Amino acid sequence: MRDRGIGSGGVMGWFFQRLTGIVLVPVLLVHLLTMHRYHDHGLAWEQVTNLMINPYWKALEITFLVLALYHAFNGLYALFQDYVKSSGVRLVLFSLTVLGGLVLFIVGVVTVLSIQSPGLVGTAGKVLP
Amino acid sequence: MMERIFRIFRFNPETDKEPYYDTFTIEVQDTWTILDGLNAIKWHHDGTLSYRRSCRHGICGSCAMMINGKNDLACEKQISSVKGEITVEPLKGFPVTRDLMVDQTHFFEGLRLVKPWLINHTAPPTDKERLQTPEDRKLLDGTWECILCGACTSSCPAFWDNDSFLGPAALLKAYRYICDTRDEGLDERIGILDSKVGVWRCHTIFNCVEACPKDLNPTNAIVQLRRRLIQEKL
Repeated sequence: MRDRGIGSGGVMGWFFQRLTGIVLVPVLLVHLLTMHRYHDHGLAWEQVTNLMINPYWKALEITFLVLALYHAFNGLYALFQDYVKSSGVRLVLFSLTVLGGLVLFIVGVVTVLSIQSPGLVGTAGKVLP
Repeated sequence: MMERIFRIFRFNPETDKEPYYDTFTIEVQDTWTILDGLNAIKWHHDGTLSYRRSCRHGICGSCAMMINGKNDLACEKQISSVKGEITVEPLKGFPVTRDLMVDQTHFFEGLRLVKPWLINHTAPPTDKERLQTPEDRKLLDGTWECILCGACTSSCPAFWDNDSFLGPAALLKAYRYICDTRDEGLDERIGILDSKVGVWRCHTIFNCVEACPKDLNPTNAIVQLRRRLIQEKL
């Protein structure tokens, strides 16, 4: 039997999991339709960079990043709480979850902010025929 | 009278290494319940068969067990409502004490943690009881009828994997008092309800609703508790 000690609750985690889930639906659709839309001639890198130099799009993408990371890693942590019996292992997994989330957040933010020019073309960024 | 086959889970921790199933073919009457069948087996075929029973009227909750894969009260389930062989097993999720008897100590400990009694710090009136309006009393319907048989908690997959989870029965009972307009105990209960073993461990699987022999809705009670906690905390 696991410890029934009254630790910190889950009200905020539960509430924001639902809230991010609801907000993610339209944000994810916008992201998919704009950033992953296949055009007549394949994926248009230039269109993506053209959009991404707009600060509002950057803000939207960073919002999407924060919402998606919170939703995913909070959901993962909920699974650990359900199925991991050892409190020590749960603490380690929680730490790894937070660390993983932070690393992906930094990588995502750096990627979004680094797109400054519409002419930016990466090594794999040529428009496909 | 007709013949029916009972396939019964057996386990004696003092003598058996593994559980096994015993099969009994007995004569039953049309009006018998599963409990009548078990009594007939115990009294006339195998006196070592162990199970709990008390009121025989679906009130005490002692004879909750799994009948053909579904939790039910043996004293309420008619044999005629079950087709073919009748498989009787103990409630899942609890340690088996012997045969169809399970250890529900942990279940009742969880119940006590939610303080299932009226908490009111105001002195009661001296000339009458603590009265409610009919509307306020109606809020309790669907909560007070719980007989604490454990069928709901035993059917909950969240409880199977995390037996520190309070479970639907304890949470339904907590809601019974929290939605009572005479109760002032939310502050005393909020700690355990909003803990890692409280309402957030429920994943609205609805097995408890399926399992409840009194047709109650513990999932709805848990959702209402969450709503109250959100209102209190945010």
